[in-house]
Amino acid sequence: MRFAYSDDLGALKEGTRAFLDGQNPPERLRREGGLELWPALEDMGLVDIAASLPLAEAIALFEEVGRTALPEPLADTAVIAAPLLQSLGAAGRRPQGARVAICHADAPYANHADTADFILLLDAQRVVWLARDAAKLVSVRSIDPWRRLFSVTGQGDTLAEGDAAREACAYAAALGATAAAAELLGLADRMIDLAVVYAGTREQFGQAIGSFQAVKHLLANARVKLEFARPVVYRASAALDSPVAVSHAKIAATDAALFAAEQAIQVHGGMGYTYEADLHYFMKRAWALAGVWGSREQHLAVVEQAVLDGGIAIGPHNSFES
Amino acid sequence: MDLTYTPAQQAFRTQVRDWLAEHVPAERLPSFDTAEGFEAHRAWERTLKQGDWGMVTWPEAYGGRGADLIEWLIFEEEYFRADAPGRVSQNGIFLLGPTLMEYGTEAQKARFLPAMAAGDEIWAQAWSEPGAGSDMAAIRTRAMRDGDAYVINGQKIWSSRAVFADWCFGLFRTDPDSSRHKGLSMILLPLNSPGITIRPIAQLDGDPGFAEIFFDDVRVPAENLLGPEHGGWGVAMATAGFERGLMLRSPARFQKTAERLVTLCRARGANVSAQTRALVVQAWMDAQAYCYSTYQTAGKLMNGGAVGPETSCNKVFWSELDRLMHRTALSILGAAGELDAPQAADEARWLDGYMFSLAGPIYAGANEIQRNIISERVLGMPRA
Repeated sequence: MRFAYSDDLGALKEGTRAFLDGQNPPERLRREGGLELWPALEDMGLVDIAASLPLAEAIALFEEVGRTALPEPLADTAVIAAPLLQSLGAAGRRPQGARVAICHADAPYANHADTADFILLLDAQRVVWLARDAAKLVSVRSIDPWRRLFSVTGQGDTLAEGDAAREACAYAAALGATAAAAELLGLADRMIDLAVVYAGTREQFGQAIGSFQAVKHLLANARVKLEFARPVVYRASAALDSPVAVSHAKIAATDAALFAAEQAIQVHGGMGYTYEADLHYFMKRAWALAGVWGSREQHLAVVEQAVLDGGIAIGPHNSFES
Repeated sequence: MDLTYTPAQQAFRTQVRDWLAEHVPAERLPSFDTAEGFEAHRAWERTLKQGDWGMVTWPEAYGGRGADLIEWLIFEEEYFRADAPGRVSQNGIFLLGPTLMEYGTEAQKARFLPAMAAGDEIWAQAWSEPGAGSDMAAIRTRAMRDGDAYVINGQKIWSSRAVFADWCFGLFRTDPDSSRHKGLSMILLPLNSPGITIRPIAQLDGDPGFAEIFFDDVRVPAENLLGPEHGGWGVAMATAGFERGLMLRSPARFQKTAERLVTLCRARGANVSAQTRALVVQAWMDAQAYCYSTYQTAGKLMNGGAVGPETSCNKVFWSELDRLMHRTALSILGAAGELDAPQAADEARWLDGYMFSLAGPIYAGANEIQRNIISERVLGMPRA
């Protein structure tokens, strides 16, 4: 029993944070341009991270991705498509560095499909591998200015059917939900940070508003929620075959991020309700990720059924049985 | 990450489970906040000691069995699974014990720890004063050095089970010219010392679980000073760290309550609304989250890491979870929730537990103080 990631991951997280802080600062988000960071992400080894790290650790790294609201849809390629293709024995379909967009019942619009090399279409009957050129894309607008969504149709190669497709579909859902949960942790952390900084500089009544308990406690509460969402996500990343662990993680991270967003906008006051403050980029990403890869309701139903209908062993002696 | 138990850990669990199955009293003991219940719980502590289960993480020389933190978590899980009696010695074993380990002299450790682990000496905490609650640095009770002794005068309050306990660990002002955090010292003294008067305070449930302690020229040997003279604030902060951190409330306690809540919800079936079912599921998830968090902290400590002010998050989280679980149970129970029979069926334990859960956000540093610590020392927000 060892509930801790390796020291290597700690170092990698630090390195990734420094890199993303430098390459993807709020000034870049404000430019609302293209996905020019892909080559740098590839150089950093992040696009093919699942090949060099245990999957649980690769997913945990997405906390750092969420922290800067990275526009490049790295998770779709790195920790959803790559392990999924691997599990289907189809890793060879994807040349190293190729970008994959995903279309799934829980994530029905493929993010940045227009610049992806391939698109994976998954449903419970069939898993289809589609070159971008062979896909018909119809643009759908997201509230997040950095998410370019498309509904996708087209004829491609069938990678799996029947039971194998159903399993692949469930595996993709688990990967997607857990990666989104990890990003939501980072987003929550960043939104708390932004509010702490704002409260430390904005003065009213002759002092920084961050010195008032009424303001402090909003952010302390957000921190408590985050503190207890993180280990739930870590647990899920190492237990992807447990639907309860995955659903719990998506719920906990969603709640922590949405709560952090609400506290952060409150602390920002009127500025929080503008497009000028950076906060909105992080809030919008959090709202988007809260909805994709399974709604809160959908995940709650999974946990509720397991816990209340006796599907899993509970109690203090069954800490890791679910 | 390795979320499986080793064969040795599984064997340890079996050993704990088997021993508890044989020794846990079949009937629930009366509340340890009563004279009768206190002695019944002391007897249980002695039984635990016979099995060497008094304080599993302590070194053998001090009455423990040298277990690591994962084994401690396993022990706690089995302890709550078995519904074993509450630990009447908790202030000693969970708070003072670790503090003694860190600040005590060899002689103090040898003198106090084994008797603590055995239930022979049960400890009360004497920190709060009528004018020093959340603002603990306002302590006024003085312990003046006089030759080889301290002479204590003043008053302490909210001292749990001091009416029945044997010793107390108190925080006193040893430098009369000092103020606030400076000039305080931690001193250990027997509660039957001449000059001590203890007045019980009835708690919410009517039991005399609290006490005021009055000190009138109480002489304590200077060797009972714990840690540096005038450096008691630092010692107390270490104790508070243990209190808010791992030890005082292990996750198993809340996992057990969550399990009882799930069982209650299942038994009432269709009579439980979707809204309440969602609260029950939330309770289970939060208890699990606290469990994972504690395993994570244990892993960090076992790797040589340290815990810091973020432990204040623990106390806020578990105390509010505990209150939510009991409130949810009462909303399911209806009229049965009112029954006052703590030794009777599970149903009658919920209101009793709810009352105690209301104390959770208050004791061990009120949650508002924890939130100040989180915002100032974890988040780095400006002090008022």
